[in-house]
Amino acid sequence: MIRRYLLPRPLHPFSWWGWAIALAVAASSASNPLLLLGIIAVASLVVMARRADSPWAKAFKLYLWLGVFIVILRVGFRIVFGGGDGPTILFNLPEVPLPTWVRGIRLLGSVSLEAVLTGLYDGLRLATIIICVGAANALANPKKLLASLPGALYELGTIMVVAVSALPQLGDSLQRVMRARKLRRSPEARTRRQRLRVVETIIVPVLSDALERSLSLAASMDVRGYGRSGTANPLDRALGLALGLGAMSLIAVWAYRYLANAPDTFVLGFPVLSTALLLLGLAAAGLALWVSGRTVQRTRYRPIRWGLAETLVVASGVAAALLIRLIARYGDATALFPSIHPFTWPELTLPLLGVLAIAALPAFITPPPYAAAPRRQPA
Amino acid sequence: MIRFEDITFRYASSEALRLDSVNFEIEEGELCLVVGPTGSGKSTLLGCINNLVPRFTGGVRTGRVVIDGQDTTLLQPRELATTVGYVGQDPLAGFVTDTVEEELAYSMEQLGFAPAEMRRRVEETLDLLGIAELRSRDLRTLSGGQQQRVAIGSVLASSPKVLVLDEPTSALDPIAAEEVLAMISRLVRDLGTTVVIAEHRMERVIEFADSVLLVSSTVQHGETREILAVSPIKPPLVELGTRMGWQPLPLTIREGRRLANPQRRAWADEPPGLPVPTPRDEPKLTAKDIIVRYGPKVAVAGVDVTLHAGEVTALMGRNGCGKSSLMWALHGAGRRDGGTVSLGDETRISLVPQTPSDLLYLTSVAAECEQSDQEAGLPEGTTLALLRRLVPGIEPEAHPRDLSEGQKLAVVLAVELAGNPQVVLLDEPTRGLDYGAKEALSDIVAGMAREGRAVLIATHDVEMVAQTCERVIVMAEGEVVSDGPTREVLANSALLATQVAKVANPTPVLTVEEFVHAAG
Amino acid sequence: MRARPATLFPALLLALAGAWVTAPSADAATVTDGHCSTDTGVTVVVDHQELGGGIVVKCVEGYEPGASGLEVIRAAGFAPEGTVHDGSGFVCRLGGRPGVNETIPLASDPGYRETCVDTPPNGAFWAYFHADNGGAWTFSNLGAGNREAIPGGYEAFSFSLNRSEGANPAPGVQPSHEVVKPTPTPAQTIAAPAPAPEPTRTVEPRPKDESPSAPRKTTRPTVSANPVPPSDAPTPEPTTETPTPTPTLAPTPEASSPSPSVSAPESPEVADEPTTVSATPTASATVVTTPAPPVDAVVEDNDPPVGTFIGLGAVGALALGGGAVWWRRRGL
Repeated sequence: MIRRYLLPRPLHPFSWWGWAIALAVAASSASNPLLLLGIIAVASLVVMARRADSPWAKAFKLYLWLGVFIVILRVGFRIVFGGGDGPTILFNLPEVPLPTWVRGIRLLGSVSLEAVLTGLYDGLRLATIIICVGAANALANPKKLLASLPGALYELGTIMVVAVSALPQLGDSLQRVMRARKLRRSPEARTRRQRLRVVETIIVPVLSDALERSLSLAASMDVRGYGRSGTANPLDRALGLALGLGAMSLIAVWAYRYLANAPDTFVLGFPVLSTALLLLGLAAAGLALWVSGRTVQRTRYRPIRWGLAETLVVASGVAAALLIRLIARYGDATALFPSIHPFTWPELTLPLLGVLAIAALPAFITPPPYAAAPRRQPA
Repeated sequence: MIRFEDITFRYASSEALRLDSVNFEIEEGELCLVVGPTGSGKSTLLGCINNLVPRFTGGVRTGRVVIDGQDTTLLQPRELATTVGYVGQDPLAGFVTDTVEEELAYSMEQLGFAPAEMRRRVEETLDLLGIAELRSRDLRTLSGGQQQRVAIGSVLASSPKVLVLDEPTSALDPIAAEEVLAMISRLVRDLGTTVVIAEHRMERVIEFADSVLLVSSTVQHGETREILAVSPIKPPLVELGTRMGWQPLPLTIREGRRLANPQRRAWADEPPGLPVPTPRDEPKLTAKDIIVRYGPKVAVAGVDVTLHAGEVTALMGRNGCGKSSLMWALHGAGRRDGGTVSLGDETRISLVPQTPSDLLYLTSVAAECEQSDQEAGLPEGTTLALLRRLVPGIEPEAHPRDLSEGQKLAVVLAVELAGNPQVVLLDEPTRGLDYGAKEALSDIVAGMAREGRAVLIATHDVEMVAQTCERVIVMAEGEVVSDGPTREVLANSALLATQVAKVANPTPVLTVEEFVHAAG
Repeated sequence: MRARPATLFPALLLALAGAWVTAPSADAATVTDGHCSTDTGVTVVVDHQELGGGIVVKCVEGYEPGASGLEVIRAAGFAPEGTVHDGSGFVCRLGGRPGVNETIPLASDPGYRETCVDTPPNGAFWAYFHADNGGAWTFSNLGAGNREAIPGGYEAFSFSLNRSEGANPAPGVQPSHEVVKPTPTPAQTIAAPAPAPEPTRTVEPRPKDESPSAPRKTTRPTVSANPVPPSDAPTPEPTTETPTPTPTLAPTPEASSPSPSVSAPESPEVADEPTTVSATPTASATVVTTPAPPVDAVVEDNDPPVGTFIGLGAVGALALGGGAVWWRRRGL
């Protein structure tokens, strides 16, 4: 049975997204750089082990570079706009004098270790969240994700799928047109009007091309049955609408109370009224989607069933996030938030190592993806 | 199976009728070939079968369409998805998903088939089309022929009774075209699907066709030989048969050879005198060791080419063998990673790309001509006059995108020729051109050669090459495989021989004119 | 400027490698307990309010001219910490309060802990006040780092818990003191505070308001957390009176509550020697109130603890694992 469980298959995209978002939530409630680096390493490990062989799976390293860029940008900002507020000065840059009415902003000047460290910790937090989202992207085919949307949101998904597919074609088109431009002898574009002309020579063919392609695509989809209206009756539609509006109102009220820190009674650390509102709102939203989707006659080819592996993946992510929250709220939170001034070395305690281990479980306990086709050697 | 009753159609903005009282009936299990000059309404007619015209394109249509005994006049195209499958010209533009498997299943998903049923049908379709090993490939990485097969498969999976194909092989090289057409004929024979196919290069399809629908000023439907006898456009073999007075008209090479037996035996004893190309000695362009690479892929691997004044050369080869890359490298606007190109003094070179509309961005033909005059520093009206000489009858106020393929090509040609280039390169100019337009192009090219220009044409169209070009260069995998007079290269090749050459084999007669002339 | 970030990392490594560059600015400042008695020193008041920890008053003299309120407060030894998100622009923690494990009973979240990662909520934050000598407390509309400290004036932080907008509680100390011109000879000062010792034996300053000696009108009764320190206050050696209570502020809140050292300055006087009596606020010379060390406590040794190495090891192992899997799946 274990062998059957471990047969290669793709996992449901929602499970990977659930895991990744839980990890991102865990990362946002900590500032320990070792923990954050650990989460990044865990995300990378799971991606390397379980990603499919598709173009966006290979784009994961772009997210890693983006993370590096964010950290550098944050630290740079701290250095440029107010780096000298800590007691430990690293080095001095010449300060750029600003008029006195620009209070609160200081350009360059001395750079303190505290400022650099806060920039580093903050940037690392944001980078970790982004890398978690990138991991979800790499592990779960976004198009499959859109296809897994409930029936009522299918049109939205299709729009996005088509838009995403159109981009490479636009790129090809642009390349071709730019190359073709060289065939016409165009005089030097000196005046602004001439330069606008140059833009026109590029944009018009590309957009016309795109328009024609989109018409062909629409015809092809139409011919294959896209857009058949379902068997909805007025009652169903009204019910769906009412549920949808109700869901939105409930969630709006919850959001307002949450952001305004409205007072509430607490049971086990959860605000009673707010949680009730949120759950009711989500239930109503789910019901609305189900009612609207019921009448749509569309099936899915080789749908991915939600199995034990998916539950385990989501559970590991949620467990990691819960553990971090428990430590932050009820345990000794010093490991999660190493202080910068006075500086304490960030360390990974046993519970935090446990969190990383749990978060890394999906790399080992889930079925692997399909094996890639053997690469052809160039002749 | 398909019956049109008194179908009339016009676009809402004009009074001119595109289709006027069309009546015909296509039987079940027939392969019907739709022929006609460009712009005569073939696509419109095909669109009427599954109601894309007028539902998708707009316009006013009257009359009745009956498919399989059911009146479908008022139905939407998507409701006819299980009855009629329609495949357009550009398969890549019609793909919705990423992989072959998903594309095949897309139609069934929309129609609400059960997952198990979908799975079964997808597997069957993969086997039927012979693309089973491509099932998880990205659609963009497939070759043209494979893409076209997947496009056909994607409408086939829901088992429609009628299959409508609008110029499926126009973008394919001869080998790929053969594959697709063979598959289609197998569908007709094994599954009994009714297939309606519009094709410019009739010679490929004519042997499979059960009936022909001729769309010109009127629409005539009938048995193949009947219609071809009266059709203004015929494939070379039929043209030959007509000229030689053979009965019944030969549709296949085998029939042609049988009918040509007398001539062939006469030539076996006494070979006919065939025109010999004049030697050309004034090189206009000399290229040595051209290399073009895109990363690890080598498109052109060290090619030497010399083009002479007044010489028309054909560049042939499979899709992806490096023809386009070579031309762009010779022109200079494209990538060249090695080698030298030397033009004579005062020699200008111009290139007409594969998609001529990439060059056109203004809103009227007249504006394009004016722009071209300005760019070349010529007196106003030069380009327009040149265009009129090339192809008369183009409205100066027409929007370039509304023109037919041949007309667009003519406009771009006029723009390029305005600068009086001595070397002219044409990249696949015959795509989408019907016989008439190809004739016109042949005349234009001959005119250019007479003026002393050197012309290089990259093309798949063997018939046109036989007609127009005196030298052929064949490329494969980035290298030149053969380079010599047309007669030598084409006549003895199995794949590149013209229909007439195959009929007259081993005598190297290439065109109908030569055959008739040699037959006395 | 573009090349600077590249030089940052070696600089960072150097700084962390062990040589602590201590704050240069504070070496000139001297810190005493209680209100200042000059018109050049700045009195720093920290009122913990409902947070627990009482009111701490310190006087900082001899700081750099033009120093900001934040620098003065840092010089006073309160170790202000900013947040990760805002930098030190928003003071989140003073003297380690509120600590990372300390639960603050916010109305909207009874189990709230201040992690100093994001800006503190408006129901629980350190409110920044300032006042001139003899003036009234003004809630500052600039950050502590953005305005200069008023010489002879008062800088204060008061913890605002569950207050509505504009109702932040001012510190429970009157912002006024008598300005005494600094006198050179310690002898004079001996005479002056003579009366002082007796009343302060109990070290409960409040009941008796020693108007003659104590230049400060001292505290209101809200200094509640006092009980602990007075016990050790009288005992310490004259020379080392104040240091014991005052300095170790930062690390653990509970342990170092001696901060309500309002009494402390008096305590030296508890010692009998008249010489030590000279520990009047003004005679900062003899009262060896060790200038509150700017680098507070916990800097035991500069080697990172084991946890850091374990952490680095774990992260490294995970990264190597990821690399190994990637290598294998590449098919090479």
